Amino acid sequence: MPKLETWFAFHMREFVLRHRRSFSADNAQQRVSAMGRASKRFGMFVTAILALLCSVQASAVGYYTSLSYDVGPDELIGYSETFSTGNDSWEFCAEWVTQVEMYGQVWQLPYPICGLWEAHFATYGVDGELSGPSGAYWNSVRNQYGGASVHMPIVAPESGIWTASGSHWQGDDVVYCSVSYGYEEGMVFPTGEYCYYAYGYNYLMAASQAATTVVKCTVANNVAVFDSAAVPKLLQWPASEPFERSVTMACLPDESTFTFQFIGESSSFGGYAPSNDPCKSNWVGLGTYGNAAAALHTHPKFTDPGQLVQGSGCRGLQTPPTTFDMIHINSQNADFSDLDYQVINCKPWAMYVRTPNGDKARRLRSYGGSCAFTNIQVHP
Amino acid sequence: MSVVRLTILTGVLASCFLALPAATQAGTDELSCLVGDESCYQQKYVVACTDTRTASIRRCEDWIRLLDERAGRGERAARRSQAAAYSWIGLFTDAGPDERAESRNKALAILKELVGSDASDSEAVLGLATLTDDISERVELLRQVVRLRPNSPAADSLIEHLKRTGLDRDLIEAAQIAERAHAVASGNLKWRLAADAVQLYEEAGETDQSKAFQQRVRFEVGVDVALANLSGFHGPEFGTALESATKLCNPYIAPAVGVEYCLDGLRILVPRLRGLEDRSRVQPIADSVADLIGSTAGLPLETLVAADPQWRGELLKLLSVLTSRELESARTWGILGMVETIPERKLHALERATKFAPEDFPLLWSLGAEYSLQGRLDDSLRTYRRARQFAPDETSRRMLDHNIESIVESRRSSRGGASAGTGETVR
Repeated sequence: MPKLETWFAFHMREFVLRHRRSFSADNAQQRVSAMGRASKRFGMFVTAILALLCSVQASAVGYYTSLSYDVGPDELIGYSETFSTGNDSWEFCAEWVTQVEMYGQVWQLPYPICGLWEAHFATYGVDGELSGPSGAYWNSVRNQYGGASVHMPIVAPESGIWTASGSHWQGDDVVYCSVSYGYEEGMVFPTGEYCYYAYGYNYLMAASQAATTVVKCTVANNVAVFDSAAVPKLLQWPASEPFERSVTMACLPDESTFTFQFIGESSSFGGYAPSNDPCKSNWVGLGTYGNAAAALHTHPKFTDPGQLVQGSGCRGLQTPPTTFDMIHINSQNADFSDLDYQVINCKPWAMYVRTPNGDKARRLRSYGGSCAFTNIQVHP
Repeated sequence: MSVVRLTILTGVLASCFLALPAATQAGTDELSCLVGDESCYQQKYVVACTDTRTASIRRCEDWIRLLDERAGRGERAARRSQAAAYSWIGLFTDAGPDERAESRNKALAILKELVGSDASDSEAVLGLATLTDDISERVELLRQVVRLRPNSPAADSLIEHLKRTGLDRDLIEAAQIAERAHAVASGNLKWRLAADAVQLYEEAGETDQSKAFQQRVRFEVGVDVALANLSGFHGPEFGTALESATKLCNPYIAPAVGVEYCLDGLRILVPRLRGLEDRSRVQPIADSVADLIGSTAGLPLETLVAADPQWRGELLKLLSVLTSRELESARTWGILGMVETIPERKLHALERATKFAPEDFPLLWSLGAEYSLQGRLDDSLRTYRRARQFAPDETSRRMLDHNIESIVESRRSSRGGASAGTGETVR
């Protein structure tokens, strides 16, 4: 059995909920069961006394808005909440009754009871708005018991300053209840109550705001930041190596800016996972680190045809090439290869290559839309 | 008058003496190659023009001059070598822009002349295709080279060009080029071209053709024999079994025949490595199989997914056997750390690997990176600093220095208190 006051509040809340669903609620549903009748009589009495003592009270309210960007799933989450920090319901007696008129007679009640009382139920609401470079998003709730909150998640938001704002509402549902009476064994006594929804209102209580800068660790909108981290590293690698070298650039979790880590250095004949192919290195970590951001590698300049058949050969080449074969391969190495395109296609990563002469770094990235190679662009 | 003559004579003699040592150093003092000996010309060309230890622009120009006489007599090999030398100066040296442009033009002139007099000179046509700026002309020239020499590197260039247009008819042409090149190539190149053809037919929507071709390639490779070898082996005869698995998982062969055969081979082989007593013999096999798994994980993603959408889970299952107490090693744990994607497990695998090989530079680097990505910056710094002690070269050391600096910087900025804004009030 719940405590008396909460027992009462519980029934009132149930009533209001039913009332909202349908104004023609069944009277029987509003009756108190015979088993609980005695308790109710006493409960109504105590409650009425308490209500009188407490008079009218207001609920305590908290509110806040938060905004955060999670690099991993690339999700911006705005959240706004209005919440209760105190009692959510109260009631008071509007009319005390000591006698009842029934069957043409006035009956004296055995004890004074509250014949008409008013119940108040605090409600909460919030309007949330999230706005930034990709547009504005809005969500709203009202008339919630206990508190109200709105989530505003945005997947893949654009970089820039985002602002979340919350308008916090508080409301009151007011219910009137009167007692019904019965006659039994020469006595009149209360048998139940009849309640009805009287009115409700909402008022804007406060506003809150939060802002964050989305600094996404993808090359989109951060080209300059990526270039400044990748290009010096690429140009640092020795230009004379007749084989490929690569490393993956990953983002360090940091909400305000980027810091990059270079991971999984691999070269054709060394490092973490040597490929044994002078024209290929393995992308260690590119697919296995959630925050991999870019792939850096060199395209070698071969200065002797024999270098092309080292290990398992340049893309399988096992007989020494002709003079113009070598010139042609070096010339092709100034650009991204077919394999580079395959790695980057449809992916959020950027790819950088250092050209064979060791003097230039180029960037490759995949743009939105389909995964066709025509959506990949090379930047000098 | 006599003073003038003496001056001229002195000048001529001086220039002869000055030029001689340079020519001798380059090995081009005399043209010792037989007429038409391409191989000999290539060696001399490399020494004079391309080898970073011996070559210079001046020596390359000397080489061109040395060939002048033979070229003047119409020897095609000499003319080609001259064109190659001019091409190198024009494309890959630090000569000034004017000199490079001039060299390139000279190379183009020679190559055009060679192709004009003999359109079947594939080397000259390839040279012309390399130097021309006109894309459509280049594509036509590459087609010409491929017709003359199907497995030339020109085939790859042409395939790449056709692929990037995204048109079905170009993809089919590219697939046919790859198939023809496969027919005449040998070794790894043969299988790589086969894989290219399969993929290109698929991309063009020619699935039946792709399947028929792939079936022929499987027969050529001997996939059934390799699988039978694996299924039939029992006991300690790992040599043949490993050989068969290596063949099926070869990075050139597996995409050509289908990665599923590699996965099947590994599924047969790995469980049989357990429960064997002679660890000293089994461990190197386990390490080699782990390497195979590592290289399999690096195969093109579409081939892996086509073989088994759960390929990573399958490889991780196999690696869990190889990292069991009886087979664990730095290699098996290290490969697990490379293939795993769940951060905690990845970290655990790398930590275990470095326990076995505390001075392994790539492992320490990867462990340091994983710590930093998981926000354990102190551990990361400690590990990077340790890795730095074992860096194989200055380049790797500098990369690590960057990582260390960026962590230090990140900690400094986070102490500065950058955070997302919140507002909280209780009325």
